[in-house]
Amino acid sequence: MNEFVCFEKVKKIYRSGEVEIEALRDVNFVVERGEFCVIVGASGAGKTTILNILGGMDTLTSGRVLLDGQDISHFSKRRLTEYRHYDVGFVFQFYNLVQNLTALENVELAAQICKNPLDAGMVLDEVGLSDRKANFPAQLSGGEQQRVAIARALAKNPKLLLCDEPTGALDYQTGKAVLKLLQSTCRETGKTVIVITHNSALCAMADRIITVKSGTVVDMKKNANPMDVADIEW
Amino acid sequence: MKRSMIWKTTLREIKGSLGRFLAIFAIVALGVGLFAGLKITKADFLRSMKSYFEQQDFYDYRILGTLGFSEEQVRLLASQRDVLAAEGAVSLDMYYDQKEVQSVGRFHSLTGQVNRILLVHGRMPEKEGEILADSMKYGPSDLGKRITLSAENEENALAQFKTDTFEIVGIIKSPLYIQYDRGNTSLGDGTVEAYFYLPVTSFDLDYYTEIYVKFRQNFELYSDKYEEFLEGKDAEWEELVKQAGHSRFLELPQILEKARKELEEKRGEAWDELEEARIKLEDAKAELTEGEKKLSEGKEELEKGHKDLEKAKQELEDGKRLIDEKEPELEKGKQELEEAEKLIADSEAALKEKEAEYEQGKKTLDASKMTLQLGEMQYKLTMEGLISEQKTLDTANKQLEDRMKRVKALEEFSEGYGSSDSLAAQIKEEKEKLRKESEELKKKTEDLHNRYLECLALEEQVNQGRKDYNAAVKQLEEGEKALEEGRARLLRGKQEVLESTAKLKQGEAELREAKSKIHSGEKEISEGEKTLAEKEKEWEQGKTDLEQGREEWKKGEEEYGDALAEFEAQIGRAEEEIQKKQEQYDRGEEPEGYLLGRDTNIGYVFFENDSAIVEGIANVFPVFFFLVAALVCVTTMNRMVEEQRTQIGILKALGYSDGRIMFKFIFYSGLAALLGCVFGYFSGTILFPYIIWTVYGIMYKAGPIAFTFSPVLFGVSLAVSLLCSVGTTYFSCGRELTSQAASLMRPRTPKAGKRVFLEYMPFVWKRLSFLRKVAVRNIMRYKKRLFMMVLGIGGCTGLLVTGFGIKDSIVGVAAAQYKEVMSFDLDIKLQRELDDKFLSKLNKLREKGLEDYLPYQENTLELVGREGQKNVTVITFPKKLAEEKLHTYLSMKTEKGESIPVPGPGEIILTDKIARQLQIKVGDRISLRDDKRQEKSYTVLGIMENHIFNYAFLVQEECHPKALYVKAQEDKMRRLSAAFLKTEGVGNLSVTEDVVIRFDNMMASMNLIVILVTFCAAGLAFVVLFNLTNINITERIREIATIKVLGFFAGETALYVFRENLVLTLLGAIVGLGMGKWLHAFVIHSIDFDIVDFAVRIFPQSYVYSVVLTFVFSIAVNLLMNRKLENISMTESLKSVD
Repeated sequence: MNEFVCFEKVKKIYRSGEVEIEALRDVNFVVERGEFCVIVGASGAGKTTILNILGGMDTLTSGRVLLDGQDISHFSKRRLTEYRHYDVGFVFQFYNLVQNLTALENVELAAQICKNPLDAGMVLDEVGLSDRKANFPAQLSGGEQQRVAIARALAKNPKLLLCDEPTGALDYQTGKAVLKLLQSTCRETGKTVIVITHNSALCAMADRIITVKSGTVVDMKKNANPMDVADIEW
Repeated sequence: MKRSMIWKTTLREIKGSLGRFLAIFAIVALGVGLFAGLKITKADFLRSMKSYFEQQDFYDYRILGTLGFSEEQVRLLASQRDVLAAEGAVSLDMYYDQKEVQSVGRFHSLTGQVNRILLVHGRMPEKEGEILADSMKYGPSDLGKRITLSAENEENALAQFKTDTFEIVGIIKSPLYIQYDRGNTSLGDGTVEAYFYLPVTSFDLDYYTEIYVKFRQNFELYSDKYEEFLEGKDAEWEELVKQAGHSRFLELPQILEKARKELEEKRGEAWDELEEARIKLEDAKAELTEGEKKLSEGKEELEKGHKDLEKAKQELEDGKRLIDEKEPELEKGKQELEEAEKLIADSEAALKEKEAEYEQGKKTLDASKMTLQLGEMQYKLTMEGLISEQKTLDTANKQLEDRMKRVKALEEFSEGYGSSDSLAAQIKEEKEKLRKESEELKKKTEDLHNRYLECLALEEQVNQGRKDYNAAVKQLEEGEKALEEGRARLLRGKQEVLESTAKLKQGEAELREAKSKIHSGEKEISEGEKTLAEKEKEWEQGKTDLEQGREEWKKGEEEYGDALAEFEAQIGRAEEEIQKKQEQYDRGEEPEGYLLGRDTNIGYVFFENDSAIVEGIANVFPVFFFLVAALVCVTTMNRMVEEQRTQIGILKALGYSDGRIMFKFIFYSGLAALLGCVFGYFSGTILFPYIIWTVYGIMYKAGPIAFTFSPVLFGVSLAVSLLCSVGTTYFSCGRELTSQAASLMRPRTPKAGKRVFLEYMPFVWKRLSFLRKVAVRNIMRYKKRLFMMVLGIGGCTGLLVTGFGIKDSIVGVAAAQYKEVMSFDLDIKLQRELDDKFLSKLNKLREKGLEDYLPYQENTLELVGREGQKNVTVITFPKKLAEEKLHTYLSMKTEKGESIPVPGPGEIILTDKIARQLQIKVGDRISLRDDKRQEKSYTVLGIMENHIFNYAFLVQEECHPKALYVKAQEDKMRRLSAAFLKTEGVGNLSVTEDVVIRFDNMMASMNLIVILVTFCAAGLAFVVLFNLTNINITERIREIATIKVLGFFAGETALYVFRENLVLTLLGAIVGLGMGKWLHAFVIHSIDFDIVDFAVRIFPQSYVYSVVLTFVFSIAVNLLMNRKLENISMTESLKSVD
């Protein structure tokens, strides 16, 4: 019941011409509802592939992926789009805001296509950007931009929040602030948040830590006492 | 090594971004093709025409003289410096007939060295009576057809030809007529319809009308050098012409002498002919009189016939009546006869009875006679017996007494005597007997006595019998007589009956005969009536024949009169001519000579203008295309440089020089531009001149197109395309290269979003849906691209509008001319000036569908305006009719639609085109100059909108109409035109409907240009749209990927990107409509066809088509790009900005 996300023997092979690259092999893990999960691993370990599959951006070669009981591994392109549409919120490393839209509009962009969106302005208030709503991304700092990105992901009111190196392009303090936001979001709204990072220091703040190495999960452990972000240092 | 690395990466780059490479290639090819193609067209045209002229040895000088020229003068001119050839030629304007249509033709002698003609179909003439015809008017199907010089031509003119009927054996092109215009003439309506060539030997002329001179020169057509060359010759040649004139002048007495002799001869001939004609006329007159007499005789005969017939009828009637009368008589006779016959039969029977009676009577009489005779005899016998008995008795008595005495013996005797008494008893009885005898004797005596008494009674009786018999005889005799009489009577009666039977029979026979006679008489009469009717018909026929004959005679007489007058006039004119020349000669007045250059050849002059037309367009179109090309290059290369920012930074950091780094980009764009330029140049310089030359083929008949390669043009094209590509590349790269390597390696700060003006208009902005807002912002984000897109799309729409508009302007022009400007159904040229006779014919044609007509006079005169002069067709209307109904035939409206009133005396209306060309304004004084250079001036009353040909309209009291505008009743136009063709005196007839169709067909080749333009437009649209969308997508890959990750459906994603394109297409199309309207006006003004003034108009549907087509192109490009969009991987969103 509590297994919100479930990877079962997930295998992913990329083919480019003659070359076959096994990106994932036998990946098994579960994430429970409302958990703050960190997937950690070095570059090329397969973190991003997991993210892509989980985010409905890529298909898997074999195995099963369940999200809230739904088997997404055999979804059609269209179903996958719907899945992205309604179920997943995405936070990118480079924010990926639409430069041409103001902060508010960027949030609205996501909110607009949802069935049950949150109010864009309110979400921005929540991420602390009440006074920057009318600004264009270029006029915002990196942290602010990432907060807009998080707001954009949240506004969709998704079941799952996926974050790809959310602090990768940010400085230490800002990164911390962003992580704080993610953690408190998880805590306050009960949303399942999965953060992908190479920074193992973040493990301390997670409820669940999944370690990926060479295309497979080498370790998965629950952290009974997750720390507050402010107390973590790296 | 390094170089090859650059090569490799560049080639790889090209392979990797073929779309981008092709975009540059295509836009450069398009621009260069259009530019070079249009630019080279004039050069190609001039070259083609020059080579045609060279091939046909087109003249440099044409020399005319009022007295003509002989070989002498030709030789004089041929011997001059620089002269390649000089050749005498004849050209005469004549009326000719073909298929009952009369036109004016120009008849040239064939020349061998100058102005050689080009045989298109058929063969050269081989004998007299064969002719070569104008290829503009005749085709291969006309070979073998005949043309005839009209009898309308003046005798003198006709005499210049050896024959007057020619067979077309060849179709030709002449360098003298490269254009459709055949020039002007003093004959007919002033227009030459076609030209013809025939061997000089076919002319009966002992002089040349002109001399053509060709110099040894090879200057470019219309070049200043040629002008200079001729200017250098002019003075010398003016002198030469004079010399030639003088030489001709010296030949004049000879010529005059000859002319006189000829005139005399001709006069004699003509007189003979006239005399013959007169005699014929007289004969005809006599025949007519004879005919009349015969006719009146015939009439009398007919009348007599009628009378006879009447009489015969009467007689027949009488005969009938008589028969009717006689028939009952005959019937009665018959009856009577029958009765008589019966009577005769009766009387015959009676007679027979009587005869029988008579016979009986006779027999009875005979019997009674016999009885009588018997009685007589009896009597006699009785008497005698008595007597004898007496005697006996007496004797017996005596005897008895004796016997008494002897008694016994006598008694015995008496007994024995009387009754042979028995012998035995006789003696015994004798005593008894004697007693008895005595007793008997006594008894006998008594008896005798009794018997005597009886005999006496008998005698009485016989006597009575005789008496009776005699009476009976007498009676019988009487009866016989009566019988005889009756018999005779019967005979007579029979005779009579016989006679009357015969008579009756005769009568019957007669009656029969009479009846049959009447029958045949009736037949005869009906036959007679028939014959008479036939005769009457014959007579009627004879009468109409006679009337016709009379009319013909009258006409003949008139013709004779005309011919006589004509003859006298001609002879008079000829004499006058000779006299004039003689006088001229006597006065020592030299003939006038004219030295004319090529600039008097209409085709030559027009070609210079027309070949320059395209050049005008060539200055606008390509500039526009190059502008778009430059924009395409800038954006493309900008994008490319931006994409490779990091690479540039790395190369820079690695220590590559700026130049070397730049080389890759310059090489890339330069190669695309070079290839595009070469491709565009060669296809453009072949395609455009070829197509335009083909279109011009409507008006110009010359040789094939000659293509030229112009190194200068190629150089310019290359330079411009390289400037567009390499220049812009250098510009784009330069900016990046000045940056530091480090900053290059950092992702470039994204271009900031900006509020657009629309946001300051909340009432608009708030209404836009969210995604639309995004589109608007995106559109406004890249101004350069917006500009390029709008320009490109606008250019596409504009070109389409222009293309369709050209068609609209052309297609409608004939219809507009003949429906709106001039409205009549038939245009009829008469053979003679309109007279009462023809007017009465016109009135008769009203039954055949004539609605109305307007007579006019047509001349071709030179209009002298402020800026030069030009030939114009002058139409003069008679004042009365014009004031009444000119407006129903001519729209008489200015371009702005204002009405122009009917011109008064000294006022003129000009059509807009010629007014524009000669820069004439309303109120100006202009003059019209005729071929004798006499001028008349007028005030311009108005400038009228008109599309085809140039006209000047006059309204005058004095007018000699020789043509008619005719309106037909509805649906009767064809019938009417057929009726007109059959009407005598109609020279030429053109049906407006046919003219419109012919004109439209002619203009149909303009479709080629429309198609060409449409292709250019499509090309432009594709290149610009494809390139921009391509850039747009590659540039926004991350954004698009993000959007996809956010869960936008495929359609939403596509719309997110392409909405911009559609909006830009709409914007571009709107701008393009304006551009198109302007471009169309420009092109139409440039296509100066001289005779045609195209209406600058575009139908609304053309705008619609253009916009729709633009959208079709745009949507097609979008669909093409949509595949690329779908292929964008969402993982792109995870990548860093580079």
